[in-house]
Amino acid sequence: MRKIVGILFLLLAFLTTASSDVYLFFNTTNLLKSLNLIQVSTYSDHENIGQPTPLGPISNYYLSSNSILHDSQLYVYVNVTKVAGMGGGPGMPGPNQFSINVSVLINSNTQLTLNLYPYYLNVSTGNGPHNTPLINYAELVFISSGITQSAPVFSSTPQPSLINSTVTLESGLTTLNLTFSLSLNHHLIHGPKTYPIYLNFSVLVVASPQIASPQNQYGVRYYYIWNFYVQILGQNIQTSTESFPGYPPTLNTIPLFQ
Amino acid sequence: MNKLALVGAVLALALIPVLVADAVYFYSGTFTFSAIAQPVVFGYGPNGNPSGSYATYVSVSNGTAGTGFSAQIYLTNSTYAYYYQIVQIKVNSEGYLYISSISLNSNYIESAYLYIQSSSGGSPTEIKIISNGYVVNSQTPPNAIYLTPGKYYVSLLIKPTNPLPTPSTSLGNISLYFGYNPVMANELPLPPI
Repeated sequence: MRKIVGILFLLLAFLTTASSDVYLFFNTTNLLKSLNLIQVSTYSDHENIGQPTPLGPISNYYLSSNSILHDSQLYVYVNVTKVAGMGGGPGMPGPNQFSINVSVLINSNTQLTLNLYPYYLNVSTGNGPHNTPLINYAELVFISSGITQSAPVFSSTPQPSLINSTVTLESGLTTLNLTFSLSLNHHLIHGPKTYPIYLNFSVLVVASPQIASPQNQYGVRYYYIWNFYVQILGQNIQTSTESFPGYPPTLNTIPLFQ
Repeated sequence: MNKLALVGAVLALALIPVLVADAVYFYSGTFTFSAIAQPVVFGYGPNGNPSGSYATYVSVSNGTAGTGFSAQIYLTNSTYAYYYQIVQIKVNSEGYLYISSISLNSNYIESAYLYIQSSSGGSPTEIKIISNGYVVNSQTPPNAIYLTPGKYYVSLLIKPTNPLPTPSTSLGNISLYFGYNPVMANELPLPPI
């Protein structure tokens, strides 16, 4: 019986070989090691930063986040607990403008190019849709060694739309701020009620070590998704919701992929 | 008498095979080997040069014969890490390239994809090699790629399992076994199996 099985096995082996022609094979190995490319400092949950918004007379907020890029995604929860007063007049800063220190990026490269692709933005008071613009703009601001770079992610003019941006980070620490502006004239109205405003948006970040050779500038790319959750507890805010869903990145739509 | 009979019987038995085998056929076969040019030669791509700008992130060596390559990949915490055009495949004669076997020795790779693209551009061919932490040894559809003479670049996309350990820690490796059939697209498992 064993002989028969052996003979059948040999026959099968020969049949398989005979059905093809020539096969060459090559062995490769991809060795993997970890590398620190970009990190974000972490904040303990519900830490009360206690910084007033620079343009608001009364506002304060606390910022909490989970551990950020260690999990490949940056989650930022910002809660501005109090907004009061109407602020300055036309052309003047008012309490509807916010600049929030979100985190600190640590770049271990000589230079790092960040391409930002916002793909989702939703602003709502949580009290029903009225499709009235709630914010004028939102942008991420990178501050490093006295150099400030703005990366707009949303603008309501000329048409409400998400905006792609590019910034270059130098080696070392970079402060990441979130700046946005509420539509003052339409939403901060006088009255006794208080409503939360929810500002959520997601950004795909493509980080590329910047290399001198232009054709190889994007030879290695690391992809991150940053999610921002902002809640402002404001007084006298009209109810509204507006959403700008883009297309969540997939393997086929990831920018700079080819 | 009995002894003589026994000896006679033994001799008779010994002669029987000689008597029944009246013809024997002999055959011989010879394998003669000659060297020809490799149909495919592996090397480092534009971004895989071990002395190039990206050596901090990826470094590819291919030995002297170009029968394979070894790529040192540096991963970091990210949603995806993409290593663009790190390996070169120089095709000298047309044929069908496929992956016959994959092995994974790492707990830090959630998914991985290979992209093979002509150096002159065009859409790359995607081959999923790791999915949900396991190797993808059965490609659907079969992954034999028809290659005409020329240069091709291989890119690697990895979705790491975050968080990764401390930098410089070894994260393991992925081994690929390529088959190249210069005649037809049939794919056979090749050693090591």
